Amino acid sequence: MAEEPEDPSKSFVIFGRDVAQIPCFRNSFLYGISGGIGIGLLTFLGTSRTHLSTHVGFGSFFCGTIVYWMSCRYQWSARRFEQQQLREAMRRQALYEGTNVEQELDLKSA
Amino acid sequence: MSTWANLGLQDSASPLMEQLIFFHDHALLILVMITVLVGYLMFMLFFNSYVNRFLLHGQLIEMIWTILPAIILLFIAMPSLRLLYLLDEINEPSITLKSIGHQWYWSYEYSDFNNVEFDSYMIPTNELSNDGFRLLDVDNRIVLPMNSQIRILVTAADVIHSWTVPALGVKVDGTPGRLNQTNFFINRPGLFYGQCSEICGANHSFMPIVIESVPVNYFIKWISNSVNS
Repeated sequence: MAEEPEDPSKSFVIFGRDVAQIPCFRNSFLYGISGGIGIGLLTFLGTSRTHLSTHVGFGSFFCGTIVYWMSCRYQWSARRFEQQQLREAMRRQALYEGTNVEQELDLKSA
Repeated sequence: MSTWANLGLQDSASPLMEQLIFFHDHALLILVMITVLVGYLMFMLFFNSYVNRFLLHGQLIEMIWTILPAIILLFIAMPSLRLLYLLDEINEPSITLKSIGHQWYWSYEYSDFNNVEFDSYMIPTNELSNDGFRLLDVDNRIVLPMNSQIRILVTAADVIHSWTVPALGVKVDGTPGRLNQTNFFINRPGLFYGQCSEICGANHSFMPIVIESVPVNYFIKWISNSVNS
């Protein structure tokens, strides 16, 4: 569920901030709103109670948005950290290539 | 930099500011969702049919609206504490800058390099060039190397000032008789603007800060020229 870099052609500016570029934002609301509408409609089909269906639909939107956001942001953050570690390791590998430090590291990992 | 009607945070120029922006987005989404929830509950009052006139208590709902906010607060507190400790890390600065606040200008000292010192005054509007930024540009900018850990020591000579650069997520009070220290790391070249953030008299709004972030070799060239001149 971790996001690729956001599509720059999708832009949604609120108070000067392009919120579509915030990682996980767009998908959180898309899934939340569509899930809320879907579950609300299904509840209405099953119960024919409008008030209850509205409450269920809104509750689904609320819980769905927040739960998806939390899990997506956590995974995005973990993946970003791994990417930074990888970038640093590649930089160090280029720095230490052909030196004693590289040989010691090879011995340790062997 | 800030322009008129800017409501949000500036683009980050520092990894810590980047993390602050991520946390801000996270906390703001939770707050927006809570606001939407409260708005929905208020809106549904229009369709209320007053069927619970003799309602005395509701154990289940009381439990829900106690435990749910506690869980939400946990999800705000955990990244907040992580960021708090991250901001406190000290990472062997390669250069130290001293910043002294005066009424109404900043003076800077690079003690590592043969005591390079200079004052930084705001450029008055009537002396500003056509491409200058009103109330933000200064005569002498602070030049700092990018991709280097920088320590800054802030103090003041007369009254309390505050050295601020929003793009770096730095705000440090300069108090007379006290040295406040903080570290930052600039990860891209450019000009970063800030303004004094503690009321210090008539010209409190007219003592800005400008950092010019340059590659290390340019910084070395600049500091050599400053030492020689």
